[in-house]
Amino acid sequence: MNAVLGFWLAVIVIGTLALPIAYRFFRRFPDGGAGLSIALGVVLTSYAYFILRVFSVLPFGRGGFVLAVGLLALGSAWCVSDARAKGRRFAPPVYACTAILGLFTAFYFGMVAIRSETPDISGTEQPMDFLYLNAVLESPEYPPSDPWLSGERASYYYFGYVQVGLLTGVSGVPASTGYNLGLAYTFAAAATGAASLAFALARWAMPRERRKWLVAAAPTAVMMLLIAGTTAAAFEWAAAHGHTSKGLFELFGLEHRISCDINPRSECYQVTQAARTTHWYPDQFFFGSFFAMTRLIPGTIVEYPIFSFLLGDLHPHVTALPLVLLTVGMAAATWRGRGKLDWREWQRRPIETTIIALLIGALAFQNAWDILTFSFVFALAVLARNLAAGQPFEALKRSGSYLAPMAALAVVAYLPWYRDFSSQASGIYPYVGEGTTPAHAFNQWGALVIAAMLALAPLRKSDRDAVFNVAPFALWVPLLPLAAWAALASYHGTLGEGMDARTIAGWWTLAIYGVCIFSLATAAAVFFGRRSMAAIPAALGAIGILLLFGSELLLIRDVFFGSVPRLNTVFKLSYQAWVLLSISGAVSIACAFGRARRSQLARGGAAFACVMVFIASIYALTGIPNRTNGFDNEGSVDGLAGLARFDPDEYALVAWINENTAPGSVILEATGRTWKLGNDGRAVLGEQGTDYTESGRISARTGRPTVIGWYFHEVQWRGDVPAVTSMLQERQAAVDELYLAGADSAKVLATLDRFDVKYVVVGRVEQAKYPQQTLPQFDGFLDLVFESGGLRIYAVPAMKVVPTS
Amino acid sequence: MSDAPETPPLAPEPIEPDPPVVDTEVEGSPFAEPEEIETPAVEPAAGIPAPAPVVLPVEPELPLEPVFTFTLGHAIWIVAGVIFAAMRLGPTWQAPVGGAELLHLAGAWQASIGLEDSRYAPTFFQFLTSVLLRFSDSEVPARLLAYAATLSIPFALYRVRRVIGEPAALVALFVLAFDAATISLGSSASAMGFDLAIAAWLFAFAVRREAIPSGLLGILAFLCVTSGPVVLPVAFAIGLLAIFRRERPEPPVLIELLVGAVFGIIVTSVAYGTGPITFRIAPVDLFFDSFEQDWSTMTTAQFIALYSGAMLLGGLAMAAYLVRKLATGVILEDRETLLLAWFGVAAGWALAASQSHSTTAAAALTLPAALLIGAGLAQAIPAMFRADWTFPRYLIPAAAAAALVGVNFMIDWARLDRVGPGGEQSLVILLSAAVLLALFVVAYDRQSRPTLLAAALGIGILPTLSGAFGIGLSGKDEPVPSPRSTVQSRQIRDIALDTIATQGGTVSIHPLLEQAATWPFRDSGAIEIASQPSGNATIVIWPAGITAPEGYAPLDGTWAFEESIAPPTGDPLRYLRWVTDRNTLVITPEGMNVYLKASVEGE
Repeated sequence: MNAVLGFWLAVIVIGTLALPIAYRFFRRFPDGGAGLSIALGVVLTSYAYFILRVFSVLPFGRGGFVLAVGLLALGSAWCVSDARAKGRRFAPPVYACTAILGLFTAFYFGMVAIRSETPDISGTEQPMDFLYLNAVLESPEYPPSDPWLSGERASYYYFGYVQVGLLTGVSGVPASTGYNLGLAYTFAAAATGAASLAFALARWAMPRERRKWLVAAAPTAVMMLLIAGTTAAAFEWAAAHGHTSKGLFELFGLEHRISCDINPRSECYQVTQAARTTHWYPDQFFFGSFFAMTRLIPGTIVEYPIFSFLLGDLHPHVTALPLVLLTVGMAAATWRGRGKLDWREWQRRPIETTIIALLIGALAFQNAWDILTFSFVFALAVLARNLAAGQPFEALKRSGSYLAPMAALAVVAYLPWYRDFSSQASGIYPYVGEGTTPAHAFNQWGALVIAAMLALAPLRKSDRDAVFNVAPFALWVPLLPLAAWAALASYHGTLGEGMDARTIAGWWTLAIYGVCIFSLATAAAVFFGRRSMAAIPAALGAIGILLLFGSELLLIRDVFFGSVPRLNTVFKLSYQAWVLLSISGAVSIACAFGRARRSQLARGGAAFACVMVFIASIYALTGIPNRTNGFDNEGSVDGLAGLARFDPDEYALVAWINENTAPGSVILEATGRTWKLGNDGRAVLGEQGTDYTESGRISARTGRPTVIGWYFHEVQWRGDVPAVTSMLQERQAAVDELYLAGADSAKVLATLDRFDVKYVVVGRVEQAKYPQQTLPQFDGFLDLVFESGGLRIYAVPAMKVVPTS
Repeated sequence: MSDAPETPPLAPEPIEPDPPVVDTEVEGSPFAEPEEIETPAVEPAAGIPAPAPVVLPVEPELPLEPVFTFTLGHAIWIVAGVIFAAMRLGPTWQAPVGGAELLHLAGAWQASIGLEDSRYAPTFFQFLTSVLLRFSDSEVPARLLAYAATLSIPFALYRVRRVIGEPAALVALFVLAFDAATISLGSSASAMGFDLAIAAWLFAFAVRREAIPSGLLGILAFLCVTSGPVVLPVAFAIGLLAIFRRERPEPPVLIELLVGAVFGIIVTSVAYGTGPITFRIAPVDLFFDSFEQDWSTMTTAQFIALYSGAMLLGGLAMAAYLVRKLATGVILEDRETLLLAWFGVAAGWALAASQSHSTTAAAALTLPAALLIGAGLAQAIPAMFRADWTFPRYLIPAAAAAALVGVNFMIDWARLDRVGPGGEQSLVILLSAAVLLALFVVAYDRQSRPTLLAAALGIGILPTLSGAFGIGLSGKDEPVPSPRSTVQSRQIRDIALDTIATQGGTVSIHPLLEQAATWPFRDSGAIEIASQPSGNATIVIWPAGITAPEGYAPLDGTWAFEESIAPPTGDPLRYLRWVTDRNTLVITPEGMNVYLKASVEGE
């Protein structure tokens, strides 16, 4: 409990310290920026820590994290004094700050309660996330090293791990606990960010006399962003109790959730149509039911935040949520602000503009996919503000002169990371395939899109002329991506194939998206023309659906191009869309209810959207008890608690390394490939797969580098090119040969020397992956430094003569 | 003299020639009101209306006053100073080398023989220690140096008595005299030897900036950047307030500060000419080390719980009082703001370091806490006497008696190491309830409420004095300092040197014991550090639990370079047992084995 409270306190202290800084940007927000100050504080402090570590100003260890918080305090003091000197008041409303504190606390402890039922860091890509968290905490030098490839720096977007590492370091909790509490922090910070942003947008969008439903915006946004999931969960719930209707399930493309007899697919049920749960909720293994609902659209992953948090992967797209909301908040504040923005702004407000540049740059560092989308959102806000103050051409010029230095700084500030980062993206390609059916799209995003479409509600009859004026321009918003698809397909010679491959259903989905985008873009332009802040939720909704639309047409080529080409594109863009549509939808629902007295259509639409959001929330209502086994598990927040319980010797081995080896010491462990003795007595390779296995477990749990970890992930991070793959394969071969060296101690010592290995692990995995007969007798030439239950660690012998006088 | 009635009157004393200050009056300030004496023009702080200075008439025609008059006030200062010094004398002479001191003395020794070592921070004090170690391999000269520096703290408080109020300064000195954390740190030869003194003087100069002699700022800046981390909270607080108030030093002052600071960083970075050039800021580096290195068996939280709990609570109470004043719109005086910021920063450090094995953050916290408590008690004690004692005169002694009876039972339980029978438990619960009820009744009446201070003092003084005397008298079973070098460690070295002197060969020490061996094996010629002894090794020293090296036979005995004492935390009965009998803790030697080459053993 101390760890949970300590971590919570660390977040609250950082959020409080950042409040004066947040207030400079968000003073027009009803909460004075309190809801976004937590994310702002964590991001700024983490950046300060990162950059000061890179320049060796801060050393390894917890003290560096604490000192970075001290720097935040200094910056905060400066902000207050600067505001006082300029005669501005620093007065965030106490009631709003209290509400934000309460919301954060409730969501933080709520997620801790959920996560403590399934705390183990194992399965899916959680070892990888744990690896990066340990890497940022344990790397002797910065940028941090890649523990799965000793001697090399991390080549991934890992800023989220730096942020969780900051909170872990400041609070002094172990990394295995910090991992789970980091998830809880992200969940709660996303809740406060969404609430703050939605409340502000709704307040701006609603006329003063129609703010009766204003307060609904914040909880609705939180619910849509963090509680809602796919509406397919309602079908799953019914099917689990044996209540199925083949026709209805087919209508929504879910017939495979009834039984494999109906529609055989990889994730269909191998059972007949009957009740398959003994509880009120579907109690099948989480990966068998709730996981499968993120794979409903063939060849893609379609996640939503509640799934991510229940799954427990501390992935960049999850930890990016607070930063993304902060950036959208920054865009909204910029849009709402007054005065022109051009290069002179850098003279007038150098600190503010620099901070914005750092936030924009952080998007790439945190989750590279976010930089394009959310920097576009911010740029649009800048353009809107300048358009409100002048002619279009002038506005474009001013916006360019304001944004260009910002873009440059956003890159320069993160050069130490860019230097090591190797993007796997290798171009934009047209999507050639059958596309998403309307039924699947409805299941996944229906509730959000319907809610976002309520942004049309503030349209009046008197807007008719304005609508006709802007409609021809708004039409280009959906048409341009379509044209880009056609052009790219022609260029690649796949236009015909693309036209043929897309099914009628696929075209229908495109058409529906297109109409929605066109309508919302038109509405946004009309609202903008009459200086209404209702333009912001409409624009956010249009961008959100545009992302879904875009992922139906284009894809970014990566290592999955040959097998599931649009997997990552749909996955990442739809996640971004989820955020935008949640905020837009929540604000629109509140606004629509505000107009209900005037418009029956708005009232009906809002009520329907609420019903849809409720249905979508069934995912969380049933998924939480499923994942937590009805809150009947043995609770702990330590991610290694399961290991300690079920394999205490392996746990002791990990603990020994954590406590007794210097950070950065190279440790040798199994590659993960399985070797067996052949008929001729020689070892032969069995299983080759290393990813998603126990391979690299020691380095993942301790942050100590090993020679080679998950092979295919290294390929993903460093590129599928011969130079990389041959290097990785060579390392795999060297490690395997060492464990298969038998009596050849010279070979072992040569390999250890080559990779500067200090410790050799012979643990549970090594004993399972290599034949017992081939394991060298390390006792003869290495120091046995740890032994428990047959698991051993050997150290390379050390020898020196030192003077003492 | 202001008309603050709560300030106990001390004998009048002549006005000192120090340049005086002007303080704004704040309603309800717990600080004693300062004397207002002849004032030169002083710029008031931004936003604070400067009161009209009261100018005392100066009559040069009168016959000259005696230069110095010994007053009761002086006598009390001397008594407090003597107690302060006496409480620190014991550990200076006889405390075992342990905790951070063990590490830093080892680092200083390595520097004195020209070896690079990460334990050499180096602070200015550690550099001086390394110089002293060239003349004597004992830790006592370095400790005396730290002791001498610490003895300047009473003078720093004496110097600021007019600003913070004489009763407040005196009470703070009395509190500090019995503060276990500063006793421990101020009389040990760790790299932080000068820290407490520098921090105290930094505060003194910060609240009386106009009194800083010319040229001293540079020296102060030098001392700060070559000190340990205890100085950081007060320096950070001064910086924070300077930023907050947008104060910029005048160019000459800035230059002086910069010269001192840069010179300090340069000499630290070149390790005072004894090591490689590495950019280092000693206090910051040691601040980081305080989180990572094991400077104590206890954690910061355990240390505070055992020794400085009352200090922390007192400081927190006073800080809360000041924050409440701030919240109600009262503008605090500069010294109050600085103390509050200092305490806040130190508390933040202590909180962050609560699970770190170091007592440094505790010492950094108790210094401002003592100053806050001094200010608070100076006002609260008179208020306590003025309060309505109609009921408290019966209730508080009755509660104390009930508490004593209850504690007596618990001490019995602690001695037997088990909770007593149900009847006794019920009685203790009843007595506890009665005590709480009595205190509640006293607290319920606003007029009587200040009398609760008597109970608070009673509760706070006992563990504070107990801890102070435990450390001050260097009780051998006190968990401070720990881990510590064993008395035996030097004997092991003598045995080893005798063996190689008679049998030849070398001493081989396992790498896991390399750090622990530095101090006991100082001035012992060349030794081998090896995980597998070379053929030339005659005597081998290995950690316990590692299989004996082949060809060597163990030397009978229980051997250890270091031993540690686990603190009695976690179990209230264990704590009570320790409070009543300080010799109940288990001393755990960091076990090791000494092996002789088989042929030597045979001979």
